[in-house]
Amino acid sequence: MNDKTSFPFWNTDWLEAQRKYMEAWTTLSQEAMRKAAVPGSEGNGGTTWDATPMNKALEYWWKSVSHAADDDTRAFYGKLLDQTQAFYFVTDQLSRFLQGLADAARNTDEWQQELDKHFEEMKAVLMNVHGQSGEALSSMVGAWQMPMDTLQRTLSSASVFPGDFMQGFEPDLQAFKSDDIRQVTDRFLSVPGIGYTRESQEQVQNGFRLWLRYQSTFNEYQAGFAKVAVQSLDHMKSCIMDKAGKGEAISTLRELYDLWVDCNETAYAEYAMSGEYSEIYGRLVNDLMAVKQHGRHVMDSIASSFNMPSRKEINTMQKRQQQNRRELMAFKSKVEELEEKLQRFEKSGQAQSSRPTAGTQAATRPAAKPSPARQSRTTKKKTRKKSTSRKA
Amino acid sequence: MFPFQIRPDELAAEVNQFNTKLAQGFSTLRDIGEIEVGASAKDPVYSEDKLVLYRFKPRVEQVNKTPLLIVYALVNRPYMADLQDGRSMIQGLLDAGQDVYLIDWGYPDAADRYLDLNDYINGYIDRCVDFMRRHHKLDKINLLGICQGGTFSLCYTALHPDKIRNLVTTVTPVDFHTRDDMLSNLVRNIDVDLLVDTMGNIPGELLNWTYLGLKPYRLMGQKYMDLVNMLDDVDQARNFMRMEKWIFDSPDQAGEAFRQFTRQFYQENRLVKGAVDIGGNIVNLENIKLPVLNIFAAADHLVPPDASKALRGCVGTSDYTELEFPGGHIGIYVSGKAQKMIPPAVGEWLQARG
Repeated sequence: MNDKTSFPFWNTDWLEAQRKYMEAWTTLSQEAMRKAAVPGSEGNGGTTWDATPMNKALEYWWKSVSHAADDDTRAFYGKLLDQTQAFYFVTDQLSRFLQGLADAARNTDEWQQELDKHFEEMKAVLMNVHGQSGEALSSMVGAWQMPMDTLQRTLSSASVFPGDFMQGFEPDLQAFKSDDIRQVTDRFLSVPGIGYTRESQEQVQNGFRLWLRYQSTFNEYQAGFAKVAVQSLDHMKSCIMDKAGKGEAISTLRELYDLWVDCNETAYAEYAMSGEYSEIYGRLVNDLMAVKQHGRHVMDSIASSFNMPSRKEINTMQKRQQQNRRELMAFKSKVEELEEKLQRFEKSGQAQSSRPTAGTQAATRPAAKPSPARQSRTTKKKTRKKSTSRKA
Repeated sequence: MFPFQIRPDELAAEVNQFNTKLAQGFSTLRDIGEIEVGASAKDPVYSEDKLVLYRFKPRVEQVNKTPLLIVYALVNRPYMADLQDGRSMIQGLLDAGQDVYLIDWGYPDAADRYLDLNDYINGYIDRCVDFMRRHHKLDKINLLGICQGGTFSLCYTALHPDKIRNLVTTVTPVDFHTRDDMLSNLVRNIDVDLLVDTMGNIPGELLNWTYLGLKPYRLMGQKYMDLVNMLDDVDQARNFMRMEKWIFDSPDQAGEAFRQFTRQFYQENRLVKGAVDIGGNIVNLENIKLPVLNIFAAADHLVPPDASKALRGCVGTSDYTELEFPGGHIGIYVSGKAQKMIPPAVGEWLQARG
């Protein structure tokens, strides 16, 4: 079997394009490495790789083959490709960053100081996501957005809005951070409703106020994650120093990626276990729920105005229905208990009528043992009585 | 030496290899077919609303006369305990001579919004237990709880000690306020009344993302990179997809039960205080004087070991056994190591106690 038949997508353009790209890229990078190499030194040249063409090639390939799969496979593989692109992105950015450090390290004996300097720069960028910074460092910030993406999905599953709803408002939301604009907004929201529609005016104002509160909390939450990113850099620096001390090397992109994952998980776990995180996460969920509940009240008012059932009314019905079912089960259980009792009495009565002298004998005979289910109900009653008295 | 030592040609080769695996893996996944779950033969023997009680067919001749009821959590689906041939705790228990029953809670919908913990514990579980007692003509049965189902089993046994002979709990939270409980920290400040009043039932998807959010970089990213490396092996790929199916097969949670569980257990940590209120009955774990086997996972990120081990100080029994599994919350049911360790240990422990 030759290579062409063993490979399922040999005839797709993507692989050919990738092969050509890799060949050209390797040639170029080797050339660059030769130019940058310091005579007598070990290690890499001053080259990095660029993940963008790879991602584009991946997208192109996916478009050409995805129609061959069923919906489930397509959805899952789409997710897998998203993660692959994230993998390329993270390793691309990290390898650029570390390559810069390696170059600096080659030119100085005090590479630890360079390491410190680069990491401090990186931390400064992460602490000020919207601030001005070098292009390479700014794009690196994107790699730390994964938990935010997860959170957006979490919130969107509980929200009427799609996951990236808030992202679309980003430029305007920045404006709300300005105190002046915020004051104007607050004044607008404080204007009392007047006239026939005053209640609906207040309703709209209140909804807007709740939404702003949620957005403000979301910004706070996001700022918290900038701290996680900074903390993860500290962990990463310490891991690199540790490896250097032991003479260990990071020799594959996958090792680099795994190191990044470990450092981020450690930093995230530290933050997620803090009281600060618990408080802000709770507030975030509560503020989102307040927005959603407000929306529901508005919908309920509209439904009521059309004489349509509101959520509130349906809740009442469901609650009553559940209570009825509980009572029904209790009655059913009671009827079964009484039936068993009746059967025992009937048996006992038949025995008495068939034997005229049985009455005196029955009085000395122990009572029939109840069935397991009957017995359980009796015991349950006792337990309940006991528990209630303990509670009291 | 600076530890970053990747030569560009090596880097290119690595990326090339990765992409090749990714492309080949597409055909593996495309042709993998329907993912089947559930390895062991079973019959539905009792049903009520959306609940179905299953009885598994025995795999050995000598079967324990006291049947074993498995109570699964309300979160996710119970087929995780019987995922596939060779990775099934239930199969192992059947091989160990147990007569196994399992409660499948089904998928609650809006009509189940007002089911509360009393309905689940003193209603559904109690009626399943009574069904088994009647069917086997026994006063007592054995009970095994999984995760939240373990917590339910503890509450049930404390309230109905006369119906249970032996109790096994697996990865079961008891103390919800241990220092390393991230899930507990996450829900501590949530206004659960507002959440339930707003959402009604709690969407399973919301819970899924919450669990994934406990280890976001690992569970949302790195895991899939691992998959690429195993896509050339159809069996490994199928196993991965089976787990993936289970992880995202998450029923909605009945609103009232969720409200009570979150508040009483996660937020107020009432179980260890002897203050959980189930339908007006106070759960006192000291009432559990029957034999207890408590199994926990050393690397459990959802229910930390200390959260489970707290049970020792709460129950009133003198026959208390702990078993530590060297793995995680899911591995305890599906890993190869678990198959050799957990079901035989449970079987042996139960056989020794009748």
